[in-house]
Amino acid sequence: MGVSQEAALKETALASRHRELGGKMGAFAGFQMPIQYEGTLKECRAVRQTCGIFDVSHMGTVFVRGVDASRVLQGLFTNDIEKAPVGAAQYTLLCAPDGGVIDDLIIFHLAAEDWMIIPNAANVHVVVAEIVAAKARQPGPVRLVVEDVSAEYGILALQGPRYAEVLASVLPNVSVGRFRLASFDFAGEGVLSGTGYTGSPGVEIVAPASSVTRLWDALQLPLREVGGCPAGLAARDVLRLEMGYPLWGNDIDRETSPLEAGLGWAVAFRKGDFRGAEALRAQREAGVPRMRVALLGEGRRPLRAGSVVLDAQEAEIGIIRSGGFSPLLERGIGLALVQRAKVPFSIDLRGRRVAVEVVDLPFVDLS
Amino acid sequence: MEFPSDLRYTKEHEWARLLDNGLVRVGVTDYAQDALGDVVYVELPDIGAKVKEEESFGEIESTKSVSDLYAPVTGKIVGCNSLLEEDPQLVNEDPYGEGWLVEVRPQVMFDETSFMTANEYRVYVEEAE
Repeated sequence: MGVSQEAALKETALASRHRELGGKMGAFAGFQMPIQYEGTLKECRAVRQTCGIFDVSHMGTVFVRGVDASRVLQGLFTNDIEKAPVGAAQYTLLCAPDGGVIDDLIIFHLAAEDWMIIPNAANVHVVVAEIVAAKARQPGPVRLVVEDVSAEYGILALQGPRYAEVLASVLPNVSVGRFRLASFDFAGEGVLSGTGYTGSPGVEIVAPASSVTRLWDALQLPLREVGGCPAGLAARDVLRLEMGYPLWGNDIDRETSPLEAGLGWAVAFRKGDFRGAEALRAQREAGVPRMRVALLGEGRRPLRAGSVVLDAQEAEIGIIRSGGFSPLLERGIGLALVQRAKVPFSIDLRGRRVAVEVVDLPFVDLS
Repeated sequence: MEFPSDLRYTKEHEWARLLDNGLVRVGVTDYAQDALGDVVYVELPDIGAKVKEEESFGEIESTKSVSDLYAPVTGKIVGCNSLLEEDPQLVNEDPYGEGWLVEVRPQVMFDETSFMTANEYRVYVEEAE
């Protein structure tokens, strides 16, 4: 890695902590992030069995406030924000007019006129620009303020069946249900959200960077006491893949429709007009040419993104968009986009045929 | 990082050990296993397969990447570490012991001088960093 490239990468407020912990740093979405600490498999095991903590401060934090905020966001995002009352979080998508996915994101309804938006790191600027443009498209005066605080805020994800114990030792009087929000004060006001991207129980914590740093420090001992550990982005990728959660840039992007990617559930056609609605309605009528399928490999060999998917006649029918190894199943797994009505039979892994089976998501049963 | 002095090392971050019976046992180095991350799958050749020096004889896959394995000597595969089928992380846990990969009957006598010593390999690794 060249020096100039490293110099161009941003860091989170916790970068020195990650290095002290022996974290292996790597570039992700313009940030120097901890990819792993002691080992990806160990970190995955911690999240599934006890608890892991992730620094996901590379993701954006954007406030959207004002009496017209809800109306403008409802006309922009695909999901129905009426279904996210104050105190709730929602998974939603921002689509281009042609239906391609500009970003997938979580939005927090903090107060009647007050939203917090968590875009992917790579898409913060484009999401902010889209909100500003949506405001400008409204007729008449619009009362809405967009404030990108990504550089001043941090985000932690505390994930795993014993997260509540770990959290309670630092924030004793705060708890949240799935996709619910609570505020807290820990050397700064922050938001606790019953979300995460691992499939295991847990919370995400969004707060000013100084507060996040103190929380990270305070959580280390209770985390170790339950047998947990810090976990890097490699573990997060494995865990989200086991659940079949999409990763923007892999499974979804500007050239992929949410209807192809199995995200139709996050597109609220009934709510009226929103960005991309016309194209998505037309796609729904006509049917999309591709569909997302979950593939289970025959053995331990990890499936890899970019591998060609073949049918029983050896015809190329699609591409693996996200692939890897499931520690829980001890099998290769992958999410692929394939031509509609075609049946995957094998994939081409560097010239070798690996038999695959189409399975339902999630890959793993955590119940 | 450990580089035992009784082994010989390759530029591909593998080690070779000449056994008493004339066979050459092959594995990856501590540096390699650390760089790879958690190993989840190892593809080894069949017993009896012919391998050629500096040519790929298998693959090693970690959670994040796949790497070719290169034969340090020309010869015939006479042993594969079957423990790795169930427990490939032995490569991480014990790269010079239980995490060995294959045993080769070399076509010509094993020539230690064509490899790096532990000290030379240590320098090689430090320069690569």
